[in-house]
Order: sequence, then structure tokens, then C-alpha cells
Amino acid sequence: MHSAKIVASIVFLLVVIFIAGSYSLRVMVSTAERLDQQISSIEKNTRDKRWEEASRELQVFLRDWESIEPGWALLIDHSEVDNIDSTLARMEKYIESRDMSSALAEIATLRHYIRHIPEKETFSLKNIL
Amino acid sequence: MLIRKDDYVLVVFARTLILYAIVVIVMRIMGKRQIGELQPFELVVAILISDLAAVPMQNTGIPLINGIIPILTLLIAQITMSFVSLKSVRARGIICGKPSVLIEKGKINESVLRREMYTINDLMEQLRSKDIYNVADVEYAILETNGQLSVLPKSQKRPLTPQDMNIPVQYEGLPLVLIIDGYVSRKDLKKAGLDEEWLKSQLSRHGIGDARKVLFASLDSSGNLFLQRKGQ
Repeated sequence: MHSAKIVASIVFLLVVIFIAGSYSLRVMVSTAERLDQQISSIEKNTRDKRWEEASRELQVFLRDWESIEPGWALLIDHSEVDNIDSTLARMEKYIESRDMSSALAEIATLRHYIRHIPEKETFSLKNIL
Repeated sequence: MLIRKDDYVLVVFARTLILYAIVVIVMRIMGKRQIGELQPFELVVAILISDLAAVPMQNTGIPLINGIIPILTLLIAQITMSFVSLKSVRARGIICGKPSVLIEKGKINESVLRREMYTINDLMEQLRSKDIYNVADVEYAILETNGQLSVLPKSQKRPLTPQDMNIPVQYEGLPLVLIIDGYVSRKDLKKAGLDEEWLKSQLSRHGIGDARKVLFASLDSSGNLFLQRKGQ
């Protein structure tokens, strides 16, 4: 009876860890994909010099990010979240001042951060080793 | 939003409390063994857990979950290892190791000492800590898997026991604790086949009207009651 309890507790803990791990990763990947699409749209508008449109989409992105950030901060290194925050702050100013090359550079950096985070959390041999 | 410095302090304070609670619960689940009695794999787990908890405590940049998941994983691994070693003698030998006989039939086993990297000085030191100052008095010395040395002295050097003298002795069981800090243990009273009325009468015989005034009371297997009042 005692042995059965121990085995059941171990299995329960393992199942909880695996389900919570894969669920959080799935949510993170889908969120990153959504943010990536938004970044592409901002990038296109910046390239086409549609500054008003780019700025409006960036505001939508910032609002989205504000709601996503607390969840991500639970799972990833807080310095990664800070990196995204500071890139967004720079991006906002470059779009505001209509500096295309700097804005595009920041957009590329932001995309790298957003794509890199779920990649870093994936259960893969590269990450394990 | 600007973050005040005392907010940071509170964050560290809260994280420390959370991790402390987790470590206490995990160590409690893992078992009751003292540090000196840990098996090698248990010692490794204890060291790892302390380190895993300490890093996210002070570094607020690391998510708390990064400290909690490894601690829970170690708990699972440790319980699994303990469970496997409990169920299989063979696995026990692999996980915990086997005891090594350092002195066998009064003779120091040199090859075993070398294998265990145990010097003669270590052996002498351990023997002295067990009040044996002469190696010649030892019949067997066994290095246990938890690093402790068990010693069997030669029969003529063993302390005299009532059995050696053929002296009959009375049975001595574990005393039952009836009152601690004024709290009556009904469980132990029941175990002794007694009730609170009996306890009250015993207390009044000692001039005590209320059990709350008693610091400690126990009953030995011969039926003798030991009593001490608070502030005595």
C-alpha cells in the first residue's frame, strides 16, 4: 500500500511537470508566432515608409506584449524580457523620428529575440547539451 | 513605472520565503536521516538542492520556476532511487555500495583500506572515537555505506553484560510520555491502558491540580511515574 502511494506520487509529479512543461512551451511558441507576424507587418510598413501605420501597429504590439510579458517572465530569464523591452523602446523612437535604417535594425533584433526565446526552451538535444 | 529599492528587497524576501518553504517540504519528504548518516547519493542531492535554492533566492533575474523544477526533479529522482534500493538488494548494492570489512578476525585488511582510500590514521581515529585505543582489541571493523565505522571488539574486551554474569533482568520498554509542556497525550494514556481520571488522581497526589502546570510527565514500563512541574 505504501509502495503504491510512493509510485503514484512519483508518477503524478512527473505527469504534472511534463504536462505543465509542454503546455507552457506550446503557448509560448504560438504567442511568439503571433508576435512574429505583427513584427513582419510593422517591418513592411516601415520599409514602405508608412510611418503612421507602422506606429499604430507598434502600439498594438506594445499592448499585446504588456499582457504577454508577465507570463513569459515566469518561464524565461528576466534579462531576455528586459532585452525585448529596451529594443521596443528604441524601435518606438526610431519609428517616431522616421529613421528607417535604425528602425529596421531594431525590428530585426526584436524578431531575433522573439524567435530565440521559444527555441531556447524547446526540449531538444541542443538545449540539453 | 519606476521601481523603488525597497520593492526589490521585498521581492528577494518573498522569493527566499517561497524557496525556503519548498526546500523544507522537499527535505521533509526525502526522509529523516542526519547529514552524517546520508548515503552518497543522498548527500549529493542535499548539496545540489541547497545550491539550486540559493541561486534564484538572490538573483531576481532568474525565474523562480528555474529553481523549483530542478528541486522537484531531484526529489523525484531521489525518491525513485530510495524506492528501488528498498525493493531490490542488487540495486541497493549498486546505489548505496556495500560495507567494507577493514579489520577481519583481528587482522587489518590492507587491500580493502587501499581500495577505500582509508589510511591507518583514519582507522585509528575512528576507533579512538569509539573508545578503542588498541587495534589488537578489535575483532571486526566494518566501514558502512554511510561512512560510519562499526566495531566489534574481541569477546574478552567487550563490556560486561548481565547475560555474561547470568543475572536475571526485568523487561524495560520505552517510557510513555503522558504530559509535555502542559499538554496531555491521550494517545499515550490509552496505550498505557489508563485514563485522564487516573492521571488527575496521580497529579493531585503530587499536589498538582491542573495538568497545564506540568512541564513533563512520563510512565516507565514498571509503572513508575516521573513528574516535573513548570518553573521547578
